[in-house]
Amino acid sequence: MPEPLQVADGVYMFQGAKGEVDAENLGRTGNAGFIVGESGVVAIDTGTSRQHGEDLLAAIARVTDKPVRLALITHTRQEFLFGASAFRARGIPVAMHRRAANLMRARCENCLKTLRRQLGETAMYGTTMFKPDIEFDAAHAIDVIGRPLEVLYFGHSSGPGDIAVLDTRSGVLFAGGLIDNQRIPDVQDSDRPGWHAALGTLGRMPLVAIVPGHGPAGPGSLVGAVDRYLTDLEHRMAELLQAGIALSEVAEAAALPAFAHWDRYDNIHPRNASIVFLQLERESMFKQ
Amino acid sequence: MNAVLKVCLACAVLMSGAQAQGEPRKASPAETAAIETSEIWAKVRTQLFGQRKIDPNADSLIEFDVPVRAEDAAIVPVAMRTRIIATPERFVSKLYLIIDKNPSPISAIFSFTPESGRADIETRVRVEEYTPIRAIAELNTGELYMAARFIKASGGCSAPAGKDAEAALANVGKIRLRVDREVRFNEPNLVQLMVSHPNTSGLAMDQLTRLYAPAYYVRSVAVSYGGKPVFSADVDFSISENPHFRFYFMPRAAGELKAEVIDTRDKSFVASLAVGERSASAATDAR
Repeated sequence: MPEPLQVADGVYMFQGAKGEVDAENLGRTGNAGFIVGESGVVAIDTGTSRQHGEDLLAAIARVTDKPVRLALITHTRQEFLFGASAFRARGIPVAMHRRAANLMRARCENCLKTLRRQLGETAMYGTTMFKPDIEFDAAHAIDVIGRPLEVLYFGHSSGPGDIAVLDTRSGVLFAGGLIDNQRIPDVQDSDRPGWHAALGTLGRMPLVAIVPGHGPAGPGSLVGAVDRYLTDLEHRMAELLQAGIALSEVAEAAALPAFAHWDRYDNIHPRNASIVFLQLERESMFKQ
Repeated sequence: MNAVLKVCLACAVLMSGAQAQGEPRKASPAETAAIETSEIWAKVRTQLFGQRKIDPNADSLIEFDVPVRAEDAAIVPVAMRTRIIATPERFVSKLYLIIDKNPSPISAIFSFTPESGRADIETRVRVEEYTPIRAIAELNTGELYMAARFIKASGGCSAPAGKDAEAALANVGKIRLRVDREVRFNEPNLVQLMVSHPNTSGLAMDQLTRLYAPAYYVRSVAVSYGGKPVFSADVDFSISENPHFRFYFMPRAAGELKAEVIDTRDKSFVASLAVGERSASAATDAR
């Protein structure tokens, strides 16, 4: 059973497992969390499977007997999405950004199939595609638990519909796809200039603590670490493109030793490198 | 940029790190069996080569560089480098790239001449399923050599096109021809040729709109230097969006490198690049 870690008064996180999806971690590689207000609870992200969602709800119930009023999904990655069925089965509305929901509709049937293959029917029992009960387009305040929360949206950043959730009382930010800690962030769905801009904005906010999408909670300086990774990656890929290196050699040549100790460096980083290399190549192609 | 829907493979593609370069990874027994007993290959082999003898273990003659697992099944880099010393009497005239389980297994046929200097090609392909992938070298003497691998990637051919495809369509036929470094006469020099083209297979459905992009792809590429052919390719939608080719040519004097690309709508796109003396070779981008 997942154990919640207290980040601040009434603010809790569940830390996901390191590494790739496997039978041992049950694909539960993403963080989740919840915020307890005067009259209820808001859950942030829902886990990988219906069972994972059930486990999160059970763990929340061990901390508080207040009802869960809402589940917010921060971004479209399987380890944050597919526990939604557990929340919805209890009548808890699940909310996500419209663009995140669109991406889920476009892609996630495949993700779910792959997860079933990797983890088996038992682990994925009852896990289905779902339609979010609430789809929104803009940043907004949430007042459903007697504790003011802010949903932050920066446009297309780490993903097209990625949001962060700020608990204004404690100054804790649930950063979703925008920030990982000690883990290579995934650039696949990103608009990098948008992501840099969002990180710039977050960096100027007086954040007391950040619950990242992956990895342990940390201070506001986590923002800068992600930005440095992205910047270093972009610089390195621009150099390789300039040098005329072949795509087959990019993964090998992309080493960024400063980040080699981050989780998933061995697999997400080479993929990031290919993606950014190809994006820069396209830009150079279409530029007049 | 804005590759929102570009690769719906996010989860479908199994990812792993950069695999070790250099020595080819040994195929597992199951993979070896898949390579050796492929019915598709049996048909393709008969169609292309009849009963001619093929040396099936030509790793010493063909360096075939394929990732074991693709970072992105829609854009898998594949390199074929031949280690046969070319002479006018004996040289590699063709390299065939066969991807058994793709909708169109004969993915590319590359032709070389003594003007190529070196029969090497790197391109990027879509890979539909876990599949054997083969490089076959044909010499002007008629000898045939094959190197085969097994690749783990899936979904390349039906990966939904995204905004990149729209950008590619808006810029369709734009060619970038690049000769790296200073040109050295009487030696093989690397050329990079990139064509802006959606290169759609007609098989990719956007899960959101449930629409298929129509098949529209580059059919042939022909490159000459000083009027003499150096490289050509017969290709189809197994080649990734924005087809990209790296190959060699051997200039003996200043001249014009010229590329002509023809697509399935019979549109022809041409680009050329003046190749000069060592000192004058800095301007290397033709568009």
